[in-house]
Amino acid sequence: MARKRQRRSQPNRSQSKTAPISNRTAQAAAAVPAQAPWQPGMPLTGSRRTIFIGICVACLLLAAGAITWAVIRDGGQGSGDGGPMNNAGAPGAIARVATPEGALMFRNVLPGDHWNQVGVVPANEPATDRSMVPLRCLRIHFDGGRALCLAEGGGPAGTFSAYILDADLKETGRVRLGGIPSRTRVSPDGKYGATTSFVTGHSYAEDGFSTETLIIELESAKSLANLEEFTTYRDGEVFFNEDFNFWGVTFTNDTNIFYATLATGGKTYLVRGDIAAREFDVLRENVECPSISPDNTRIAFKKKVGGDLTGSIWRFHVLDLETMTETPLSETRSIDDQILWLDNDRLLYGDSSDTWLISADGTGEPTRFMTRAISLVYIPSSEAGEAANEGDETGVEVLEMPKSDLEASISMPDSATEGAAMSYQITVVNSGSTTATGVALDHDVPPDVELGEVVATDPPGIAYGCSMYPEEHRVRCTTPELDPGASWTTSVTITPGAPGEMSFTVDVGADGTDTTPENNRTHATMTVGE
Amino acid sequence: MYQIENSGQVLRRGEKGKRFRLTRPRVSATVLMLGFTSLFTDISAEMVSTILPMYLVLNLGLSPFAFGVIDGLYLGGAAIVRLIAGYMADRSRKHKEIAFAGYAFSAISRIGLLLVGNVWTLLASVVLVDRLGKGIRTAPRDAMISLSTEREKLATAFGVHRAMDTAGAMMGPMIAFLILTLWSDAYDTVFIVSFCFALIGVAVIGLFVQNPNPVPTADAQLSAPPSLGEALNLARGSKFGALLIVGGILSVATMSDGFLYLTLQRRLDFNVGFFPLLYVATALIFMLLAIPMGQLADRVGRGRVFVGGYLVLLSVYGLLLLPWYGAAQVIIYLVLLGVYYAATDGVLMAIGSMLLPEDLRSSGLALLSTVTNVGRLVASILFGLLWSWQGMSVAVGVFIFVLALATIAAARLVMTSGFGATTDGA
Repeated sequence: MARKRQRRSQPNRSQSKTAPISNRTAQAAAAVPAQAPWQPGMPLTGSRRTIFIGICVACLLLAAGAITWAVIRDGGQGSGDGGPMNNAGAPGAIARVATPEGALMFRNVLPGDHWNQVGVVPANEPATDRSMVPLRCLRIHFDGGRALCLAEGGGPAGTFSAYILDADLKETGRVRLGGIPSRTRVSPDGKYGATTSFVTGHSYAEDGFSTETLIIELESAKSLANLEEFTTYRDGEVFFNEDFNFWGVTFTNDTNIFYATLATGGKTYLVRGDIAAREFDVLRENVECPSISPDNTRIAFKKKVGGDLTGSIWRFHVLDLETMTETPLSETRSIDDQILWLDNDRLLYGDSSDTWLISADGTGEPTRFMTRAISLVYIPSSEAGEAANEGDETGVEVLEMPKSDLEASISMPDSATEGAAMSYQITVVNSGSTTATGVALDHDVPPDVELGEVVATDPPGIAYGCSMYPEEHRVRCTTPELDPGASWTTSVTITPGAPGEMSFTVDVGADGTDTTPENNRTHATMTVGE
Repeated sequence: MYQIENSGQVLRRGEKGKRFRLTRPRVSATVLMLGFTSLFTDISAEMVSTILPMYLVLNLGLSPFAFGVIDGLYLGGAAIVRLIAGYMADRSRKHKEIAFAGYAFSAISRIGLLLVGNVWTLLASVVLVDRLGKGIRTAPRDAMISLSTEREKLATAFGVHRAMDTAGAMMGPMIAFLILTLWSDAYDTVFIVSFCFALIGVAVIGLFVQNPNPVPTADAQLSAPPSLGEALNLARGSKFGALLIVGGILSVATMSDGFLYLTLQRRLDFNVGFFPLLYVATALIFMLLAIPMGQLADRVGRGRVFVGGYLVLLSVYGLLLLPWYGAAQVIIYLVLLGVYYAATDGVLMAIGSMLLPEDLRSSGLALLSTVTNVGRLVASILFGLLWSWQGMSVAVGVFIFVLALATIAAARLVMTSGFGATTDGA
């Protein structure tokens, strides 16, 4: 393919007479000057050419190897349309797992083969081994006997769709989404579903972000509306801005009515939507990702309490719809999730890897409800479908949860002086009989404390990493694994900024189930004098 | 001299409709080989960057917004590295070696993506290595293009380079999506194939590109390497200083493509799934027109074409405020946007090269591209804030106003200081 062209014109400072160059085909890389084209005294082009061809051949082999690996791993099936599952559902899978207390369905994020796969466990035994159904969803919600699963697929690569499933997790329809899935909810009667996806430009840093929220009629798999098409009223007047964004739908027991978040002008609002009238009423400011209680009397939501250009800081609150009073919940971290009511008294939410349980009245403190499980949803036994005969279920696999027994402790002096740097130690011990993997330690300090250095001191040379979250007064340290009987000590340096009684918390978790979760969390107090 | 067959065909097609006579672009071997390096590197880079958000969200459960924050923080770091690398290239006269290191950094980061799995902190540092590599290579590479090209062909040379670069940027996403369409979840395959393209790019620059000044001439031996003071003085007083100011102000008044597409989407209410297509269409026009615009600039004056490009952009913004008639309008916008890129991106570097002494070429171009990049980032933050506080129309209106003022200032500077002339020197 190489063609030779004679150089025609003169004043160029750095080259010679002739050189061949190939067409710009995929193999254009093979274009190599046959002779030294540049300057006298250079090494022979022949060797350059050989090196270049060698590199190209090595690259081709490497790429071919990678593609072969992808083909083998794929089992020759190809991705088809890239939907969330490869078969006709998992008949009876939920019903078989569900006890009279119901079942829990979630996205499994335990590292391994079942990553991102949907799992089911009995509602009264969240820590037990997981029944994995042949379904991979980024977000899933289930209500009224129907599920919405947001997953990649339904178009060219990079397309995401909302898959509508029945109680046997069999697909009954799908709707294409405009971006990366963020939230989904199904109405209590299974009639409607809602999806929110992030619509992004080429670069988040330069382009900001936008959302698309759809209301879907599940029976017909029709998108009824993009919420931006609804008419919005505030104090009885039509309210409109070009920059309207809606997200975080929650359906009431009256299926036609729902709540959602409206964002405009840098503020967020709680809005009440009417599907039939295609209208919104603005109710209240600073409410994001609302979630209505099963008795429809309260709304739990995340409230922005701070932040800047680089991000927001949120805290979960519960709003009483009758008195319009807000109660802050006890979680002190800033969590970006649409909180979910487990029942009328307790709520569930996920951080990036675990699901937490918290009391709706603001008392107590959060407890780890399930490890390595997010996008969790409660399914009452009445909606779990018909149990299949034993052996009839398709594709359900059991994921054995790794067991560990981590124990956290803080060794801290009883008193300290305001303004003086001091150190204390946090120790994590694996008292179980197996190696704990993915060990993560979260340490909360009081707001009046300045966090200094955080380093692992023992055992020497342990692989670890720590991230500071100054706005949450928290530090998180992780280590890949901890052998049975082994311990991991971290030294924390702080400077107390105010006198008084100060309380510190440590919470430790790992991949899998902890046999005695009570000792994973510990507190210490210290009196700071002036 | 070399000829690019495909571009020649493109131009021949273009000739029919235009009175302006286009000739086949003739550029030096260095420019052509740097073009190939950029082509392969951009295939590699765009393969990864188009799927990275998906990969992070699907595998890490990371909010897309969090990714944006980190992305933005790195841009600042890359700017500083770019300035340092630009100056180092001038001082050591080793443009090729420094650019090579930059390309190599990015190639290595592809392997890193494969190895670090889903450990977020490690992933962030891999992305950082890639950004640093990009920061390191840009200025020495542009300096090599300009140093191996006659003054009267500078814009053409940059046009050829940008056309090849953009061709790579268009091919990358297609290859990545093809792989993911054929084999779902084959992100590791995408990373490996991306690494292969990056390696070929690195091999091209390592084996076939020579420093423009490999054997110092008697003159060059006499002159000492440029001092840091000289490099810093570039920004002061000279014509180049004026160019920096004009380029900076123009970029602060330029809304990012993403916001422009978002505005289009809001006005016309088309499916957001079409966003990637908008990018492809703009890049296609840019690629097709980069060379003819470069030739036009070399012929009629680089400053004129540069200012003309911003007038086109101004008309795009103006049209945004007009009522809507249909989808055809979107096509007009995309064509105009592509014309704007073709008329300004490489041409600005050509103007900069005209005004810079040879021994400070890399430092100066680093300064110029840093000023415009930082300007664009500031612009997108400002536009985002305006959009949020005052709505779309106000935001677009403010940007039109500032851009119009900046364009007038640029036009005045072109007329008075004459840096638009085709053969004018520094």
